[in-house]
Amino acid sequence: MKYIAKNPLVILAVGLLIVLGSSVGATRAAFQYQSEANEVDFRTSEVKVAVLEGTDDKNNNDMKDVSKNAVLSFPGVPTDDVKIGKKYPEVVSVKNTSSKYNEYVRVIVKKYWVKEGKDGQLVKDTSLDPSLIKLAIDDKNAKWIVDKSAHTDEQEIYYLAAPLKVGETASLVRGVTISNKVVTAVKTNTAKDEKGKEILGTIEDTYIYDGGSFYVDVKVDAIQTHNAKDAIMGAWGVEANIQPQDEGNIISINEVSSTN
Amino acid sequence: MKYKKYLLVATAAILVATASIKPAMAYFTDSQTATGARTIKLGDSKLTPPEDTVSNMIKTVKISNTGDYEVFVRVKAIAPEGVKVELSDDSSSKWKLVGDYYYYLSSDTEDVENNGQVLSVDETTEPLKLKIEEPTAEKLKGQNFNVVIVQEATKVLYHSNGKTFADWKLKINGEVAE
Repeated sequence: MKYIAKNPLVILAVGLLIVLGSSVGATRAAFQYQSEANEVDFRTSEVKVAVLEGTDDKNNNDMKDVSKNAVLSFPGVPTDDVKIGKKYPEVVSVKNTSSKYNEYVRVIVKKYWVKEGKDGQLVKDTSLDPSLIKLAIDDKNAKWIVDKSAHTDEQEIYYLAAPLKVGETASLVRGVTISNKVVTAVKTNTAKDEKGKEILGTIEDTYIYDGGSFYVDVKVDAIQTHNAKDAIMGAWGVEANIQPQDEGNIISINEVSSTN
Repeated sequence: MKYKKYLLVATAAILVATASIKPAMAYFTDSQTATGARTIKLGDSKLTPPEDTVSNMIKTVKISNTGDYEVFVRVKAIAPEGVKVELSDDSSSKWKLVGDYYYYLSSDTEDVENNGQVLSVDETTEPLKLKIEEPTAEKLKGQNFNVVIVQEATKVLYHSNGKTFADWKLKINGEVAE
């Protein structure tokens, strides 16, 4: 008997039983008094968010929910002839699609250049400057706070200061422009004739950005407004200063207070 | 035996850890992603002169845009000493001599940067007619001479408000107006 009690496996088994029993027991006890018909259908409403894209969210509203396909199609930008320097309408908004909860929202925007690789796949080209892809950020209809500590030419994180109410929409991006600087970047090579032989004394300039594609990646995160400071710290890992505590406005992120 | 004890402790630790993680995971969150790309074309501009003729000492020049994007065009006429080249009266009013070049403009102005006439793909300019006067000096009379036409194009650039402009001094790797 002494031997069995000392066997660690037995102790482990007993321990497991105690732990499992303690958590199961409570649930079982609660159900014992109810017939099946009386059972409460307990479901938590979820915090939900959607990404919308279009060219106009005001008069001719053509905003579409693109969360399902996860594809930005740039409806305001022509497919074959993107005019350099021209600002095209491109509206990207976030919508609170929860049934019940308000939420805090942040958007991580990544932009970079891609070129077609050998096998036809698009490959990121880090030699091209992401800051030449210009996204016009909305500063009229919504207040977005930029996390300057997370800023790079390629990435920017925007926090919506006020909680987004159920069913409401906030626009972040309002336009896209390719900077005129792309036409000044060229690579100089020795010119070659039709057979691929170098022509002495002749040079040829090729545009570095020719055939490049600008690539935009938008990730929207939403989080509950209750106990928001801890929730934001737990889920996003940033220190948010929210006044007042719950359902208040975000004043600063990582102690850097700034607006766009 | 000692090994088994450690195993027991480790199992207990894992159990406790799993039990305590739960509440921290319980924040309500959601996340959505959307991505997209669009290709830009730069390439070289291509011009073709469909008409470059001389009759009655009037040289007629037309230029076609055979590249794959919109351009502005200008033309320079290089003539030998003593030969005078002038814009003929019946030339299209879109051509205007500013400095050394004949610019293809949308309005009558010296501001060639902002008033260029956009030449779309596969479009041809209205004719530029140049009157050539033979040299009058005794020693040059009766000699053969050539008038060389140089045509240049620059990519149509846009201000952010959508208005077009040309940057004829566009330098490679240099600064450009936004």
